[in-house]
Amino acid sequence: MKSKEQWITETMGSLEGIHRADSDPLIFSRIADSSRFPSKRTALPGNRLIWQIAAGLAFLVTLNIFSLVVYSRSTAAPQTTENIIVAEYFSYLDTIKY
Amino acid sequence: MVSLLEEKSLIEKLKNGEPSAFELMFGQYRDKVYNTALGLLQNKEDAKDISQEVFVEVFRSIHNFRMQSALSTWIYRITVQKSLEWIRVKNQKKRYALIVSLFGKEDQIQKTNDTPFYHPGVLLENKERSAILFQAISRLPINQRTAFTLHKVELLSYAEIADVMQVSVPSIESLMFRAKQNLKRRLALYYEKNEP
Repeated sequence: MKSKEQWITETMGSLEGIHRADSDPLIFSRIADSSRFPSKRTALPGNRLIWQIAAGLAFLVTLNIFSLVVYSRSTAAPQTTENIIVAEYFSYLDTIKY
Repeated sequence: MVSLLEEKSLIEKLKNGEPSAFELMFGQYRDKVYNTALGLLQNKEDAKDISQEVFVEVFRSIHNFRMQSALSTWIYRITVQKSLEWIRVKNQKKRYALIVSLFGKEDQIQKTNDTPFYHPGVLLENKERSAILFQAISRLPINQRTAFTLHKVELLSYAEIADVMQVSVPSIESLMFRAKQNLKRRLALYYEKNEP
């Protein structure tokens, strides 16, 4: 019968000569099939960049709409007789030299 | 043994998303990852799942790898982190099961796996004794368990373990010393109860 100390020493040494356990080679195919592992990485822009581009586009669209509205208002003034007389009157004032 | 230049080239290819590089890296590290996870988790199925998670994580995070440590150290670190997280979740489930059992809901108790763990790489003549040792290892504090497993099962040096665990070599020496003391104490208790 072994003494307690001897048994403990032998048990503590029971991992001597251990070999590395072989893994399952099929793990790779499991990973490759996984949706979390794309076969080819595609460079996607970051969230910040997307928001910056979106904000820039929104600004340009707003600016265009604003310009169109201003332009349409300025060109839409009706050419009435009254308008023509007023315009001619003020053009006459431009010719006076003080 | 992979040279530094080869490793650098492999990392670059991994960063470029080349599937062949991933396959090469998988071939080099799959046994190391699996064996480390197996030593820590003491369950083949869990180790398989963790191995899968580790490689997915490696693929996902390779762009953040700054080459401040060896690729192997980085992969070991991910493996240890994933395994410890797994153990933490499992322990939480065990605690929950214990609380449930206190209220007498026996049918809700998840049976804990107390079957002995036989590591496939252990010599045949050491099979039974190593199962007792693994049981004692599983009851060690987590840092001692990690250091002891990496040294005795994965056969890493103290310096390598220090890199993986991001502590100093004297800290690993201290962890190993305390792990051995704790294991001897637990084995002595086992001997007294079960006198072989």
